[in-house]
Amino acid sequence: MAAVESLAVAPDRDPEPAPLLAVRDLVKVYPGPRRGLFGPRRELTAVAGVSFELAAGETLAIVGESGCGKSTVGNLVLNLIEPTSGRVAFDGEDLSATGADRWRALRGDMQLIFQDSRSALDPRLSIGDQVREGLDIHGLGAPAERRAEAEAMLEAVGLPGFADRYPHALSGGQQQRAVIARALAVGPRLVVCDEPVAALDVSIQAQVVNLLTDLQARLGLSYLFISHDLSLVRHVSDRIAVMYLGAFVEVGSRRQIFDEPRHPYTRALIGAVPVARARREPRGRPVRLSGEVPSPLDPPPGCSLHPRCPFATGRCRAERPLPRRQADGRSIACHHPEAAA
Amino acid sequence: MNLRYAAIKILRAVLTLWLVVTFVFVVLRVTGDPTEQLLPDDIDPLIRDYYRTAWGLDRPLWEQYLKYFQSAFHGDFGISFRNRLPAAEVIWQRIPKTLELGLATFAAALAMGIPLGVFAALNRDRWLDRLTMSFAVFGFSMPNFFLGILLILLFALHLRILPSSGYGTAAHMVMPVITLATAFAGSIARFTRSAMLEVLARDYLRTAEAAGAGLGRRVWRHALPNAAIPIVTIVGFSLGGMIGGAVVTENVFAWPGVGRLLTSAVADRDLSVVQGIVVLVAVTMVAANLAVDLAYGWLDPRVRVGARERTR
Repeated sequence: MAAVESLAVAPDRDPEPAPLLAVRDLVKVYPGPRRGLFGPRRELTAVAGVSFELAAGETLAIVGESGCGKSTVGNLVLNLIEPTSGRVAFDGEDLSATGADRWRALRGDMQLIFQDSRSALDPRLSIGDQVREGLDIHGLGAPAERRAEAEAMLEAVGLPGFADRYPHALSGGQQQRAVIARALAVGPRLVVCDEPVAALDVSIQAQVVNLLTDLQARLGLSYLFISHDLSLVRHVSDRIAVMYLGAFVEVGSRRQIFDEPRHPYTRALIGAVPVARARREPRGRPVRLSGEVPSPLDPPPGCSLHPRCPFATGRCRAERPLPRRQADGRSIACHHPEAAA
Repeated sequence: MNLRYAAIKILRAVLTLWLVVTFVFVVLRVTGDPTEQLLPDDIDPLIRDYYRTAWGLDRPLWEQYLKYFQSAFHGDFGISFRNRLPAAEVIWQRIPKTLELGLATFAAALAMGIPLGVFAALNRDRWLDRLTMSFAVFGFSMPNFFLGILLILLFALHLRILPSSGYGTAAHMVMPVITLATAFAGSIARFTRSAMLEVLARDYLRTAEAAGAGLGRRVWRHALPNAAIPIVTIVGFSLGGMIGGAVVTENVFAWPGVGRLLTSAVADRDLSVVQGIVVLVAVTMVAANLAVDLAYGWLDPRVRVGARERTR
């Protein structure tokens, strides 16, 4: 088992500098409902051993169906949920043993943008006060200048003169811009975007996404971009991790995932995207999966995809495939990646 | 919008009061001729007729109602049979004592209930939460008279550190206030907990945590202000329960307030005093509810800012 190379940190083979974010074997298990009244508690494995790296200035998208655990990964990275096991390293600093005080200081470097901007803003505080709050918390700039700084940040996201307004007076797109201004005001290096535009109209989505990519280019941000929307992910990401039932099944560059998907689940997912004007057909036949996603309370043994996968063999039913790095740099967790291709 | 909201609420409060005052009149007339209840059975019919005329009971019902309503509006509920003073005056003398008890109870209940509820919500589903909530349930399920008697047994009879009953020093207030505030604090704690849990699950609190806001800032700046509306509601509505509890508690501790006056007036069939107290309680309740409604306008920025932005 140790001989199997995971897609995680491999410093001896990677001559590049340390990545901004390195996550290794992250696991989150929740206590589930009891079996019967006094029976043992079942366990719900939301994240089952996830490893990845994120370089400075890079965007890694995590895609998957709802409930696959992608949002949990984002929350684990930011330590908003305590991991059951595994490590997170930020800028070379191992965060698994970090105390509360250090974490509070680190939060200036790592920010979060939520899906539902209506609920992400405090209804009782003005937009300006909320953008300013991060500056107050982290003691950035002179107190007298923070107000002006918050207004400048609001202007940068296209909300000039909005500082005195309250969230309910803003449209959905404006609220999400305010959320972005609040996250970026403290000058983070990593931003976890958890379905940042899913609650917006499609016409507004493009504006907000373009704002995010503009700000990334200007400020050199790294994004961990969590989304179920593949066409959106195609637009923003450098690399993509495909997640199924708590684990990454395939991680590769945007081109690899969209043009040459190899894992059966990735192929099914990519094949399901309606393409308005296909520039190039994805190579290989699209895969059709049968049945529904199993409950994470009762995951199938072996490969979690095997009950639905047309290529499943006896080995798939018995042994869980670990992510393996391929010759082209991507990694796939499948016993028979060639069968699918 | 804001003014209309207030106007509607005030109109509704006035309407409620009118209904209560009318209801008191109807009940008193339906239960029979007051002269038959107040005068001996074997009295001379001439004397009975004299009193009927003197009290205006020979007039048509609508005239009686108008006259009653007019005097009730001026706070005149007639003469107390017991001590020959205007009923309003008799009640008025007792109000400060009940108010004293009520305000102390209110302050004590808020000071206990809100921190307990916040504490329980922050420790959700842990044993500290369960323990706190068990106390809260115990608090408001314990009948006032029983808790009061237990306290007397413990502090007055057994430990001999507090006077068992009566009015006068601050020591006299301790047990009645504990008795009344326990139930009140229990319900405030429960509602604070559930309001806090709802707010704590909101994304803006997770965002505040992700932004590096400490626990104190998250609770005081973000969670409590947003949880305030349901808490204010329950505090306002519980005032009614507190008035009912005051009647019992004042009797247990021989506290010379309105509650004790009510029980003695009922026992003495002192109708004008009972009438006056019923109207007083109704006014208190309606005023508390009106205050809650108007507080929404102040607590909810959607109402507050709506008005401010229009004037720009």
